[in-house]
Amino acid sequence: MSAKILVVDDEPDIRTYLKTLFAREGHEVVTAANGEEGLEVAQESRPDVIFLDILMPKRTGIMLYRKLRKDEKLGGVPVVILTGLAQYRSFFAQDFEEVPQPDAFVEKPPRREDLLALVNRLLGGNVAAT
Amino acid sequence: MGRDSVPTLVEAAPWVQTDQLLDIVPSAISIQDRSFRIIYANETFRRLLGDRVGELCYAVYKGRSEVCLGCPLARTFQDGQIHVSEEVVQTLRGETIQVAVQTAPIRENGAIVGGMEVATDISKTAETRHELILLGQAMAGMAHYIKNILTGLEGGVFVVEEGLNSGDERLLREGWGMVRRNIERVGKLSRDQLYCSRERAPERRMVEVAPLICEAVELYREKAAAVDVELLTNIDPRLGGGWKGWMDAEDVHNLLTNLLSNAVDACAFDTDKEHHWVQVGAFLEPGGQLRLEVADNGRGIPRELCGEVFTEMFTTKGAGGTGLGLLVVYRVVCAHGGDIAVLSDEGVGTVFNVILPLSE
Repeated sequence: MSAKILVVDDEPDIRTYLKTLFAREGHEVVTAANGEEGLEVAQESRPDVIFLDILMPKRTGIMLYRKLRKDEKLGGVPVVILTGLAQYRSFFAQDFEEVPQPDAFVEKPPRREDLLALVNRLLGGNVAAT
Repeated sequence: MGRDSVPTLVEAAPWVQTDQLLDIVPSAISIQDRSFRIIYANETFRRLLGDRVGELCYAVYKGRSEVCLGCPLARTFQDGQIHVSEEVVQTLRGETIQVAVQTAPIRENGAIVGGMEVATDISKTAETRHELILLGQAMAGMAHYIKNILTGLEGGVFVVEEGLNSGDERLLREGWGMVRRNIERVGKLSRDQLYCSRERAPERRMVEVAPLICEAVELYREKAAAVDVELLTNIDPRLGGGWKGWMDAEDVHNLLTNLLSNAVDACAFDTDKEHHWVQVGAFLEPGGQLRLEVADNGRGIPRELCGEVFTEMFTTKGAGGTGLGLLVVYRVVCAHGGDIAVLSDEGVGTVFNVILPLSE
């Protein structure tokens, strides 16, 4: 099952890492370096899953997250928060009472098997086999 | 004299004047009666708090009109045991000091008639404790930073392996670049840590200033461009033509790159302005002093935090910063006998000014 995955992270190394990893599994990967770009790419490419770093320049991942969740067309796309913050859960619980919680949190450095399993779980039923 | 027979004070030290003994003790000692009235105070007490014999201890220590909540002496009066507490008291000279207080009962025919209070100044210890807390926070910040590096390293190794497996040289080069970059980040982190943890005398030589500044700026050219920040320089023409200053080149390079890196980040994290810039200025001041100025129109530092920027672990970058950078800057300035000032307006920008006396 292949899907389109959007990776939004200001660290180029992390974009390259995830892009290489997901591409090897046969997924199509698009990337963005900040929140603004992330929204544009998401609107253009209609990803099946979004990996999002919360702390980023320009527009933090938080702001992008709000926009995504409130977007008519993108609101249902599963979002995985990728972060180096240890206290991310409380962070979200406080600031995002009005929007749905992220579909998953992954702490950096992520385990590759976990990332791939997560993608498969989130795609389950959402994407037609190609 | 046998081991088990303890000599009395007079036997052991006949030259001690026993009535002055308590005055020698470097802690404030007082004796209170059951109504908390001070009936005796030793020399240290009087020096710290004044001659307050006859007054009530809660009035002297805390300016209160009734017994303090959790008073250790009150507990000693109640159960006849020794009690310990930590208190903050105002001294005669208006200083606030932190003291460890111990109280012990004084009995007459078995009944508690009063108590002795020994207060020791632990302000220094409290300071150390505060530093330990800061260190703990620094460790947590560092852990975040290291997580990011580790992710980059793991990613690099993975991409290299993919390149090797697939024979894709482009992938191989890309992965190798990731490994190198993140090893450099570890190197920078450990250099900063070392810098903050030891006293280091600068190794000064006569160094050409202008190229040193340009080199530091060039190092950030790419990083700035990646986040749409314009990098400008303004170098005093008198510094051209090989003007040299007496300094540790590595130190000053370190100072500049830390300030530059912060300035670029301050712009990158600012969401309010269309156009962002960082300007590095270098000017020759009277008396052969060099003034370095790093200015940005980034998001600025909240006014209430400006006083804290040179403490360990000051960061406004969340997981992106360790707070070590400015401490490194501060150490370099101090080691060169210079001075540093920060001016910042939240939402407007920040200017760091460094003065370095660079004549031999």
